[in-house]
Amino acid sequence: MKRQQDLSQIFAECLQKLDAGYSTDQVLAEYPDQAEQLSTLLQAAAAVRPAGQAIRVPASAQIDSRRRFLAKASQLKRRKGAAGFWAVLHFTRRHLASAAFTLAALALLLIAFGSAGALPGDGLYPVKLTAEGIGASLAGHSGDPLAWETNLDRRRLKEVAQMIANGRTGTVNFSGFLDPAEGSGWLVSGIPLVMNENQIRAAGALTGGYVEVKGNVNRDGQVEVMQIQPRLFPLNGILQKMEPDQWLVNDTVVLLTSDTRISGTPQAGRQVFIQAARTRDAYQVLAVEISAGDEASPEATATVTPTRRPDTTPLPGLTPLTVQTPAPGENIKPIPTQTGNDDHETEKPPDSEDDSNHEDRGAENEGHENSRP
Amino acid sequence: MSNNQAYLKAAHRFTSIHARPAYEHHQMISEETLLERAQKLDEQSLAQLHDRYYPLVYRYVRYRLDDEQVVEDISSEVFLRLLDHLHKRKSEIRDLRGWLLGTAGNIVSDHLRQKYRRRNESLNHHEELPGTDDPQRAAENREARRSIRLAMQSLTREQQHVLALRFSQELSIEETARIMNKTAGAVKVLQFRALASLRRLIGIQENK
Repeated sequence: MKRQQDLSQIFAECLQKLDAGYSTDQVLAEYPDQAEQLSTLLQAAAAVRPAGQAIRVPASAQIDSRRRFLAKASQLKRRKGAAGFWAVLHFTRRHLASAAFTLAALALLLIAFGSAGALPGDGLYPVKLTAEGIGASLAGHSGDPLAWETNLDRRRLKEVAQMIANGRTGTVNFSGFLDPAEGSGWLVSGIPLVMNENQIRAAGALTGGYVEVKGNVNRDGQVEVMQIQPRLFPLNGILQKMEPDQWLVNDTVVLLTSDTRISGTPQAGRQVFIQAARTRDAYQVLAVEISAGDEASPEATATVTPTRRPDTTPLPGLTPLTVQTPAPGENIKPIPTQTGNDDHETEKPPDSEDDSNHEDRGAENEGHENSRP
Repeated sequence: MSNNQAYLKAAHRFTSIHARPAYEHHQMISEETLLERAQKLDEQSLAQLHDRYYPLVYRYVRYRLDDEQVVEDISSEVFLRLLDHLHKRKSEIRDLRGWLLGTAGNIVSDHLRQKYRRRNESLNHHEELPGTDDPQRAAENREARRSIRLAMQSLTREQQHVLALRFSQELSIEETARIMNKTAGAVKVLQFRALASLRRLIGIQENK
């Protein structure tokens, strides 16, 4: 069993290295004793990957499913509404003239306003985030959604800067441009980061780009990075204008690159669903799906051509990177950084050799027996 | 390679089909909030939830089954069951992705069990592979994929599930472990055994 456990660990490492771009020969060369066994297993793995390109999700299927889903929800709501009518009527009669009801509503408003200055870790911080969400809903995502995102990003950065200035600690989640600090270290919008060696190595590929960071503010005024990755922006709207290297979508200019993946036929007036990354020059389109005209649903969110998801399980000696950067013009005071070697990942319990001796999700999923067809 | 080029190359690897609405990014507990609102049958939250997770479910089911119509029906059924679950306020869903993929796996397994009972396997539902104009090659590819899919259907339910999560969703070991409620080590062993079994099955079929 131990031998199989070791081989399963080695095999998992081989798959990670193949995903990272190593060739099969390179991978097998690292395990000469197990090469023959691994080779046949890697062939089996290659056979079960979807042939050719990744599986594409038809927009029509998604839209149809959505209609059925919402139709059923509407039906359930009507039933619920009828049952609740008498309860609401009773409640209203009892409380209509109640001063206590009015005072409670006022109190809620005051709490919402009072949460505006809350920082991560404060009791009212979730209220603040909820209020931002309500604001987005009321706005109906009208106007410039990217500007909305940028505005919220700016708030997150200010919160982190304020925590540092006040000597506060806590978990934070923010975004900005990643740059090397003067001397050594890294900054995201002037916020200094502490990263381990693997994260630093990965940061090289993200330099100058817009990233999202999750980490902990420490007492030294730095953010100990837990996770860093490129920040992607969804942009759904109408393709207004097309030029060879750029499009106008919902009054926002986005740039196309040679690596942009396009699914569907670009045509002015069509609904597009875009995932974009942000560099200092512009929003760059990574992937876009274009609806086929009459199938388009204005409320549909993006269904871009799926690509391989990165395996974030760290390769030996490599851990995922998490980083932060300041928005242009942000006046956040940079603080000298020191890189750390701490690994912030938590360890799992000891491996089990048995396929099935783990708690299953029987309570949540439909109950079914494990059986062969 | 310029900084921009390196960054965009790295960013491409993170492209997913889940384009979150703008404000959701700023909520550390967005899935919980979405579920909470969906439980109250809030239409906007339900629509966001559906559109966020439908591609995930569809790709999983499509990986395991050939029949396009069946794939669409099952994918839709997963969300209808989610609605039932939320509406009847059954046990709390701790990991929505895991719940959706687990439910999809169960419905697919049920479908395959019924299919074998009816001995109604269709030889006409072949996956069309893009990019080849050679009919003979296309036929060979179809037959190869059919063999592999049949072989996969002979694995245990958990083995099929782990292969679908790892190779159709391209989830990491850690993500797969979270969804299956197992340790990373257990997932590695399960994946290893699944592919070892599959290797033998494919070998047996080729020798026929």
